[in-house]
Amino acid sequence: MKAKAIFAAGLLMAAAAAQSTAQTVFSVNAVGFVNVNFPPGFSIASNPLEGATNTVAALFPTSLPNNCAVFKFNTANGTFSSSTFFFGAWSNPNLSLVPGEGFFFRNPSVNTITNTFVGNVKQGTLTTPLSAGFTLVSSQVPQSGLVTTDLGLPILNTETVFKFNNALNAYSGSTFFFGSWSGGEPTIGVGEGFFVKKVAASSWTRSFSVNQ
Amino acid sequence: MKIKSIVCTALVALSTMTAKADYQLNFVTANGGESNPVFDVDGTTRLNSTFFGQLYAGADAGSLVAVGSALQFGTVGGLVRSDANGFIIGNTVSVTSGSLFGGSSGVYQLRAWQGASTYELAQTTFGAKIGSSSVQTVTFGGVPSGGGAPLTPPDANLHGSFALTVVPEPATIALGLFGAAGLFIRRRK
Repeated sequence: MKAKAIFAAGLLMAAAAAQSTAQTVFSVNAVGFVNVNFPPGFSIASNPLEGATNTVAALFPTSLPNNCAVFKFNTANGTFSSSTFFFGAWSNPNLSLVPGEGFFFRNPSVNTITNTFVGNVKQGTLTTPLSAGFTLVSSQVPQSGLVTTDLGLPILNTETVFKFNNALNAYSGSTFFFGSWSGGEPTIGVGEGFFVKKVAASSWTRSFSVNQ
Repeated sequence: MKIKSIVCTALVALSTMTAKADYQLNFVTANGGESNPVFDVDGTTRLNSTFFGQLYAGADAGSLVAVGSALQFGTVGGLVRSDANGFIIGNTVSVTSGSLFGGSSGVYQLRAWQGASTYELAQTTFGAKIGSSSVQTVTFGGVPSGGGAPLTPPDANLHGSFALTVVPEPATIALGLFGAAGLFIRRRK
């Protein structure tokens, strides 16, 4: 049950039934919305739902303050790609933000920005590739919990999870050693992203259904 | 003997290897209050999309090199917008370097021009317009040299406003030099 702690503020179950000659097959989509807060400064966030179009231009309103920016991390070459919002438009409007990816969001104002993400809860076998070195990731489903115990992130000795502390504008890392976390097992919130530093490439795979 | 030669070869290879990494900055020139636009030669008209800008970056003012691509002023996401005149709203620029990493201190400069394909060409093109910002110190983004968690790239928006000037024709330059020489000779007499 804990695994089903979905934090979609308004979750609408849309059930569509299809009948075959042999049996009745039900297809259930969970459509909802999630409000994610972006306090002033930098945060690592994620898009918790699969929208119709998962680009910065489609996911955020045009009422954002000037100089808001999104930074994604490219694991292959260790660089960021960005899109900056100015004068009602994004410098890179097609920058994609799909569930499972983490991204930095810069809020240059003094007020917290709340963005409403709308879309489907991802279900089925969900795989997030993790490279050797740093990968900026998030849970593919809108669920909060302990990063390995609840969310199923695979972790090996000497591997580290880095969360970003918005208030301190600094990372807080916790490294896994022989069954224990150096700073306690990190808790990841809905719509929150984090860096994971792996010693070898692997995959973060979960089977998830809202009916489980 | 064979092992010795392998070790020597490995050491030579190691010594010639240079750690290459990327440092990054964001080609966004507007500051928070949009108070640092770049102006045309009249000092009041903000540069529109007929003007170009190029970022230069390096470890210090003496090692500035062009980084990334030149972009038009007055555009956002490839769309011309008059409210963005005076600014460049671009994306992150990555620079491969053997000595600068994420977290390294370095400098950048914005150079702007009209009337040629590059700033360097504009400098020698009569009638072209050119100008450059002050050299600003920044902490670059990217992966730190020690392999720590990546740092987000800073905007290239620490400079103040500046206005372009027209590149004078050679005859004007020659006349100016001639006049200066005349004054120098007269003073010596």
